[in-house]
Amino acid sequence: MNAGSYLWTRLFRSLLTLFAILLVAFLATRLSGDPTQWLLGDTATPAQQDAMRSELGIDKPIPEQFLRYLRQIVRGDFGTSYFEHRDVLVVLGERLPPTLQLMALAIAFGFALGITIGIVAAVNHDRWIDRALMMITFWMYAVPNFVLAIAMILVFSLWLHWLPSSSYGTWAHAVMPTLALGSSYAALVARITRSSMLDTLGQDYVRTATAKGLARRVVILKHCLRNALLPVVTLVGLVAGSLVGGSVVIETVFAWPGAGRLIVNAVLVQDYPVLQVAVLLVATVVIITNFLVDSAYALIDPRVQYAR
Amino acid sequence: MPGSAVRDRRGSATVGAAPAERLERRPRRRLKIPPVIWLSIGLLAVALIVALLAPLLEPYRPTAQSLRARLVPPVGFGGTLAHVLGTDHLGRDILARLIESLRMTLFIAALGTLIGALVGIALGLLAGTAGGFVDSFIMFLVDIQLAIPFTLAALTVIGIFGTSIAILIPVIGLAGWSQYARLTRGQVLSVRQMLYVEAVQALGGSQRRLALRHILPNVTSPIIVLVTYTFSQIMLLESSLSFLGLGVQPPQMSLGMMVGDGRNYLIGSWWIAVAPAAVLVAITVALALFGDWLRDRLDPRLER
Amino acid sequence: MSREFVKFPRRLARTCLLIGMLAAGAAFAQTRDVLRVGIGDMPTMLDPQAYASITGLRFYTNVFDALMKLDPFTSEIEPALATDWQRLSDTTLELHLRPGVLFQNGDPFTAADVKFSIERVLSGNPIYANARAMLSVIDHVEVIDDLTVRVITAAPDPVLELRLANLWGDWIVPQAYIEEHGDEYFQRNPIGTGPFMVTLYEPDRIELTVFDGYWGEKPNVGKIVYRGIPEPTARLTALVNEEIDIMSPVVSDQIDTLSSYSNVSVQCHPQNLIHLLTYNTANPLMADPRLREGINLAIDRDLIIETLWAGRASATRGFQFEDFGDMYLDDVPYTEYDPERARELIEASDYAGGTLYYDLVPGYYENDLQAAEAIVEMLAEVGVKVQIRTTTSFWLNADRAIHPWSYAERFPDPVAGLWLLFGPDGTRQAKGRNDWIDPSEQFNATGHALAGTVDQATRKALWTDLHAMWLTEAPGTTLWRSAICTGVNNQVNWNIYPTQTMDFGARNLSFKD
Repeated sequence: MNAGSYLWTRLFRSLLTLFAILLVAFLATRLSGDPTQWLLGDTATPAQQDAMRSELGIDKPIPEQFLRYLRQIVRGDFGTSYFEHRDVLVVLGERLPPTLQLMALAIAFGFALGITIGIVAAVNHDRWIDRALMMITFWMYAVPNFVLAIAMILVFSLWLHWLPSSSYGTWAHAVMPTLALGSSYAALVARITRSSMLDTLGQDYVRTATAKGLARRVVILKHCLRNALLPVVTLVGLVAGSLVGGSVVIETVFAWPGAGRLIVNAVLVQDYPVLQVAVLLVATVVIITNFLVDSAYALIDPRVQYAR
Repeated sequence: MPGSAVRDRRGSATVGAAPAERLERRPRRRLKIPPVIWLSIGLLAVALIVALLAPLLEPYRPTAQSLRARLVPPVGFGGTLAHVLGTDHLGRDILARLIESLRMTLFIAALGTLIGALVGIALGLLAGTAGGFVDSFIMFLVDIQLAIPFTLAALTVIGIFGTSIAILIPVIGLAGWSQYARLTRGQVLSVRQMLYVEAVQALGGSQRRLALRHILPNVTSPIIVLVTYTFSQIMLLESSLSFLGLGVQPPQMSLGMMVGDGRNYLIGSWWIAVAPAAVLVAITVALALFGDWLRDRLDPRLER
Repeated sequence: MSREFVKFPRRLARTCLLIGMLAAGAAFAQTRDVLRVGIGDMPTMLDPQAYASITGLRFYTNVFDALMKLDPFTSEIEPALATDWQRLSDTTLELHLRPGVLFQNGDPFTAADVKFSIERVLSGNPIYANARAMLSVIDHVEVIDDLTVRVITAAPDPVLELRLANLWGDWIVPQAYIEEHGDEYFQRNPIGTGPFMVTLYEPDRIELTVFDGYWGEKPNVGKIVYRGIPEPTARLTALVNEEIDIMSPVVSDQIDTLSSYSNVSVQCHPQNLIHLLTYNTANPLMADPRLREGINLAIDRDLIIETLWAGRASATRGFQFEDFGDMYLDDVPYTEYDPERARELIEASDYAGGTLYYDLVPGYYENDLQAAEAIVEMLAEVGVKVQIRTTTSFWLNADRAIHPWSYAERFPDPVAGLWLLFGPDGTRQAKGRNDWIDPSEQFNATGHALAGTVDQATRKALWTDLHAMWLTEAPGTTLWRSAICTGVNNQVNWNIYPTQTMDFGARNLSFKD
């Protein structure tokens, strides 16, 4: 199989996955309770609820609802939020930039710190600095992110007055959310960079380069790092998905006006349309990221087999 | 543990060894266990014993309230020996709750890990041995699972079906199935390419026999390592869900829930959240250290 | 928490109230450009008729006006967009409107807007259900001239003026603007006749800017920035660090902490909200009224008020508020705590030890989960096995036995209280809910009579009977009147109202220098 047809197959599979996710999300939300209670409040009568059910179209059989939903999606109409009574794309649209911004910052921070730690640890393999750094990564991984987040608010805002406690706007507002969200990824990246570096450092061409008398620093930066970072790059795709999960928690603590909190709220108030589109959107982002990473990988590294 | 996601997307895992190397028996080295690992193992053993003996060790019934003795600080911070670790906002003994929570957290993580591992290994074996459409379909399920961030899926399922333990454990457990499935499948595919497997098949060995006799033993070590990783992953996941109010519900309790509930008292009555957080972090770190050490022992490529 | 402290908030509240009123009354109040307010949750829309909720009340008074309004502390009716009114007959009320009032887009306010606003609520669209529950007695509205309007009810209604002054349905919205832009646009870009305009509406951030054309007194602040900060610790830190000037709500166990900072103070008011428990009588386990009465007697409300509420909540004489005035039944006793009699009643009842599910949506009401955990232990003491079950909607599980609820005072009369919530048009008796399935015929007959009678003495007698029947039939119980605490920077003179309304108008907000 050549690279081109590999990519086409990959693309087809991605689309199929998306469709399956759409179906699952649709079915799952329809299995849940009745949203009219939340929409109408305490004093609504059953007649009013029936009226609302038919207005929302949730009194029809499930297959009919799904076909209707598909037709709407094709037209670009993803429905109206039950709760905000607005187009879900608009609701999500205004929430998305802060989340993407936070995720990008967390990835940048996580990778910068993680790669640094990983290299330093690998270069000092089995010395005390390696052990200390690795111990630190264990701690960064083990502390639940909301504990870290609240602890940072107490230390940096309440006691030291260095940073604003919450909200969104300036770079100062972004510091703590980025650290809280990115630290466990930094730990992950550090571990992988380290073991990948150790692998490469042990390979023949590196030994040859060192033997040829190249400075150790040059060897590490020029020869090892490039090869060692390949497995780290694949991580971006995997991490992108799990960052969404982390941002749900971090956005709540720091009052960051992103999509994560919207999703939690949509779950709690059974706002099906928002939930569906959120799931679909996140899945799309993850699938595209992974597709791009895979494609880049396939094109760059001829050793990758195209078969699954 | 971080290493859990260290797998490239084609299913082979850097956790665990390449089967080719694994099949050659290496001369067994004497097991030398560093002190920090001893410490980790000791901590985990104590946690396990405490959890198993919980009802005997709890100084009070963990749900017993005393509203007039609420927010009592621990010994050394103004409290008395009556409540060694103090009391919470309903006047319940923190030590008793900590022990009971430890029991619940370990129970959830153990059962969740078991579910994820069994489902994942079974599907991985099936995919690897059956091949063809079955393989494609199972890998398709893996793709779907990978595309929906787990917290999002858990939120949706819990939002729909409620927050009982009977829902929570399978939901959390299934978080890890795809890791086991891909690991197992990758091992199966590698082993199948081995010459001796062809020989076994040529001699008329059945597929099931092949799976049980030759593949499972090879996949055991990396799975044990993966278990230590998913175990701590599940503990952290449960605490995130508890923070959002979607984890374990009262009157039951877990470490994550104690931290989540106690966070509003951090200024003033810090002990409510700090005690369970310390236990949670200590166990996670111990597990990570142990798992990492185990991987180094079991993975010949990293032995240098 | 020290015992002395328990009394502290009330005293503090009274002092602050006094200071606030004195300061607001001063001739030369200090002004400021921006006031920053941190609140727990943000409104999903700002259409005051579609989103009739406590979260919305933090905004509406500042942006909109009503025909009349209730004094927040005495509940007296005061003129607002209507300057005076009189009853022409049992069913007709004529109102004269304030001249020279402008909407924030420059359009003049006229009688047509009044007719439009009321008819919009009555239109049958379920989104206006909460508001319509207040105004459904109105048959139609007649415009006499630009500044005169008549409201005609289908039957004699004793409380029509109160209905028009309540906070849940009577806000006046602009006819021309809504007809031009549509309802959906209005929900996010509302305009009213109030002192502030909505100038920014983003997730977690809403800004109100002073409207220069306002008919009343100019506010002492140029702009209000609301920020949504859901995490209590972050909210508290923001106030202490002076990133915000006002935070609401302050939860009970934060009061001590906040009081230890010198730059902020905590004000607590009794709130016009009574927390309730309601019983699902369709559940066979709950069918026996003796069990229900036993449960009511087994809850030590005073202990919970003293501890979990730090003394901020207060006991009630049943299903009513003091501001009912003539209608207040001052001979109804505070709900008793008598575990002995509770045990007797429960033993005599049909209850044989099944598990009662206590469904709740954690955090929906302040202290709901903590109180539930305490109540479960109290009920275990008298032999009733109760299990808490958290859910995302009170109505989700048919096998629920108990769930928390609340009575938010719409206006001071039982018609908008017990009768609204437990009467045949309320959710308890609604067929689809299957919640209170065995109300007596007298209960409903007495309620109907109460709602249709104008004579005060007869009404009071009917209300006495209705309340007594509710206590014996016990489809639920009152727990306590809750309190609202806010944290305020010491430079700010401001008070939250018992309705949770946040009024940033000139009479309620000024600054120290």
